Amino acid sequence: MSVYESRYRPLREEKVERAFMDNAKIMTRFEIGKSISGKWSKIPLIFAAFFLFIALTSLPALLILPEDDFVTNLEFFSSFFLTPREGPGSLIWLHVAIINSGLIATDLGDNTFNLYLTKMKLKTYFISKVIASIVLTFLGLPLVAFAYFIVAIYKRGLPIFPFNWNLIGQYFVILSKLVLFTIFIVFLYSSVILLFSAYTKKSINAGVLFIVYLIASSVIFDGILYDTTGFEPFRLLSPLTSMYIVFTNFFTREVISTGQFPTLEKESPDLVPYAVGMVILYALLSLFLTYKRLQFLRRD
Amino acid sequence: MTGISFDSVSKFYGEVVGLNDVTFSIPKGITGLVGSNGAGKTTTLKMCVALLKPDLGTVTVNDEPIWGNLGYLSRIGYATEKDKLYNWMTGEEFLDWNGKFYQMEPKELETRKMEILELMNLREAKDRRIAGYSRGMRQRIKIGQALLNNPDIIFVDEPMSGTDPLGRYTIAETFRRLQKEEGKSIILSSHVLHELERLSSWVLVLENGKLVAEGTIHGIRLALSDIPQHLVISSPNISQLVSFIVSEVDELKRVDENKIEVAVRKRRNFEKMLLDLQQEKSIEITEFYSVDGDLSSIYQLLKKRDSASWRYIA
Repeated sequence: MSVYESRYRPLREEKVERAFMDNAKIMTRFEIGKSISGKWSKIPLIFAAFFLFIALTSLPALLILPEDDFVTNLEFFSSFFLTPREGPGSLIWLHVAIINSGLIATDLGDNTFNLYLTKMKLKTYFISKVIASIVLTFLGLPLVAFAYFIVAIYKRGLPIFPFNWNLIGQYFVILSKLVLFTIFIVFLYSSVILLFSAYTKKSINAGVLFIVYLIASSVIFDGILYDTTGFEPFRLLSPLTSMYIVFTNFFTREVISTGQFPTLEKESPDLVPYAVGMVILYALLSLFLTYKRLQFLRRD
Repeated sequence: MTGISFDSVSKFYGEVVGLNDVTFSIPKGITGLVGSNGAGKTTTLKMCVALLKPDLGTVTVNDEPIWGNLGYLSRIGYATEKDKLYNWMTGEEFLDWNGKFYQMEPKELETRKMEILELMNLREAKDRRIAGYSRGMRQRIKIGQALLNNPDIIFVDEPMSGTDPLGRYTIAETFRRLQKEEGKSIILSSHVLHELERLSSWVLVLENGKLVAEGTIHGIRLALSDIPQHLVISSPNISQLVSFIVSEVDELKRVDENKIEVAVRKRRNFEKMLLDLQQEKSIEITEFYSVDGDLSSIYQLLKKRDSASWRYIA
């Protein structure tokens, strides 16, 4: 009797399904742990904590504001951490460039990519990396934004005793905006970094390429082409500018009681639907190209 | 048989042909894949472990396709050619991490891990980082991870590459034990032909993406009947022996007083003739061996041929 025939027991369908899910979970957990414990990973996390600390120290000034002003300021400060371009924006890039850049690159550098593919399907591998990238991106400033929001409304006093439906509704709107824009920004960054990570064996290269791509596309399309031609759709070719257009139109940022921050004007309101479409397209295209790249690497 | 069959399989890398219409089945035991760089060895192994899909033809296991067959994947082990692994992990952590993908119970994984560390002679080094391992130790931990799931079939790409003699011995002994004691089938590709010769019961010779020979090493040499085999014969009655065989050989040269080297095309017939001479004419033969019957020589002979026009099955 042949060796194979005597031992071969095909996995039952449900066990195959379980293996698919289990391996995806194992891989995702491993990647998150590995990325966070990396040598340089502490830097953006420390910066994020520092930002939160600074924001919280200025919280008492907000808490004594009248209700309407408090709500406006709450939206401003919570969304401040998600600003795509200025200020905290660069910290989000840094965070993603440092923490997420090794997600695929280290597997290629360490030759473990093919090893994994003999233990799981390419789809499992890919999905694990996408989920890990999303979670890791969220663990930076987006998490700080939510933390700030929750701490602020808790310190202000929950509008439950007595019920203040108007305030609850306003909080809900801000929270919904934060959730939607977080999904938006996290989806784009976590997809683009995966693409760069799949094209190099060194995570530092992927990180640098990611930042260069964001800045260069912004300078070329928004800074040079748009400024010289005045043709607005050029701006959409920069993912950062597209996100910025959505950001300035999405959040209310006109009324700043403290007077410390300039009011941001709504950028190209007519382009918002296109900007949303372009960001989604960038993210989906990045994911598609990453998957294609992985398929190619498997043959290598 | 292992159940693995290649049926008219071709693989193209752009304009480069990785495998060119190959058909074979892999028998149980230890099978060696022989070929020069770019011959198609790694492509063959990658197809066996479902890392590559054929462009033409089918690769099956017990008539089921290998591609996407998780049931099959859970019962094979694969050690890649490259030995750079997660250097920041210890040997034990590396095995532990790889074992997680097989849905093993923690206790079962722990036991299996220790068995493998013992088998691969790495127990002492289990807590050291892989970065500090020698090349041979890296090869062994890499092979070790391929054994975690207690696979029925193990595929190993260049297992002897960069290893010292002790490392080679450990790896070779491990393969022998796995095959003899546990009945596992092992498919190896290697440039170290003499090691492969000692280990393999069956070889597949690939050249330029084509399968040019398959069989036992002895069988392939016999099948190369159009190329004379060189045999050395020693006898105290050498002159008498020469008078009987001179008409049956292609070449004959005297090595020393009692020793000759002959070139023959039909070795089996020649061996029978020698046996008859020993029995009927009482000619004593003290030494008889082939000088080009080893895998390395056979491989050199095969390489000289036009691989497009012939194939040896023995």
